[in-house]
Amino acid sequence: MTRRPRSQTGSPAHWLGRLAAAAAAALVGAGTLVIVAGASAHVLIESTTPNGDGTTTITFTFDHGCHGDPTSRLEVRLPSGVSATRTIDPAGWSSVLTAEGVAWEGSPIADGDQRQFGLVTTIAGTIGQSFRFPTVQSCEGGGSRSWTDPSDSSNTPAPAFVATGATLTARPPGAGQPASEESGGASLAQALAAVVALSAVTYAGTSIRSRRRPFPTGRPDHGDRHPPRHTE
Amino acid sequence: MLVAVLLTTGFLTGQSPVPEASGSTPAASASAAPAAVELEQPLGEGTARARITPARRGVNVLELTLLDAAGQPVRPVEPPMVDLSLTRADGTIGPLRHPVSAIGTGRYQASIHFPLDGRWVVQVSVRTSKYANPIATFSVTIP
Repeated sequence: MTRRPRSQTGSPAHWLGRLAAAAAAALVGAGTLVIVAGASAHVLIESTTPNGDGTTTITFTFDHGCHGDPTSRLEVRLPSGVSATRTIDPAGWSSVLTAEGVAWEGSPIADGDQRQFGLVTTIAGTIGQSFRFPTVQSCEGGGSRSWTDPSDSSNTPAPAFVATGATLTARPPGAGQPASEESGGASLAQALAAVVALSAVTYAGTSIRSRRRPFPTGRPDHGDRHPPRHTE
Repeated sequence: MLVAVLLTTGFLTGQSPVPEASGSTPAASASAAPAAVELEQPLGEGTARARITPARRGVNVLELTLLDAAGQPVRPVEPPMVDLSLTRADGTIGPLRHPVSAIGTGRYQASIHFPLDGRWVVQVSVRTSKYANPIATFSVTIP
């Protein structure tokens, strides 16, 4: 699991946590943009890694607790189009995975420490689609933070990622995928079935005529050789 | 026999030659196509191509294609490093490092964040050998 190295102004998660008050940013010292809001945590999607088997590992991360309290639980809800098959838990943590989402619990993670939480998923959607995972971070002492807002400009945005062709497992119907046999078009299988059925009927008709020829009825034989005329 | 032919013909001609989309219309799909910015810069003697989607404030995805001088995919000796920085009149931000994920030979993607508007610099550092570490520098304006 790749760890995000810290930068001069702190890790991205740390920096983004302070971004909530970007409007209050101040120019301080030698031209460094400093966000002066109080520290607040953000839960982010650090990476989405295709595994080569149709699944994608989504890695969540944070490095802040709840106003200084250590984190003891992380609950993530899955958006439509995403299903999870297993988790990758940080040391000392365990998880409960359901169709709706995943809940991790474990030994408290101190405020300022960074951890990664992996989720192996299959993702159906379109390229460029943004997937958001409403998340609740709970801490010792009963405090919690909800990262559930659908906008990145919010103070508490839900973790999100933008899908690429490599990330997606399959596209939903009508998103430009090849025609399927469930679609309204006549598929190759349907056409072949029709040809086979037609051939069988033709063969059966020929066999019946062959068997009837030794036993003429005396009536004019033009029913098989000439199609019936349709009158208006 | 004739009935079979008529039934078969009727069945096939009743089918649409083009599958109908069960979801959005083609026009709706086209209008929903994500905006993206595509950039290209030298990477040593080769080329680095970057595609940033949707190139707006917030969460984005960066797709990288690294090619050598012959146009073949680069096989770095270690994963590339992606650093974002922003310089505005009111100050600077970064560099903010983002991890990359391999999605093919010489192809990578990274989930990146542009928390503020402005002219961001995306620096891609690629160690192609023990002694070579070319850097491609992209510039993208986030509205």
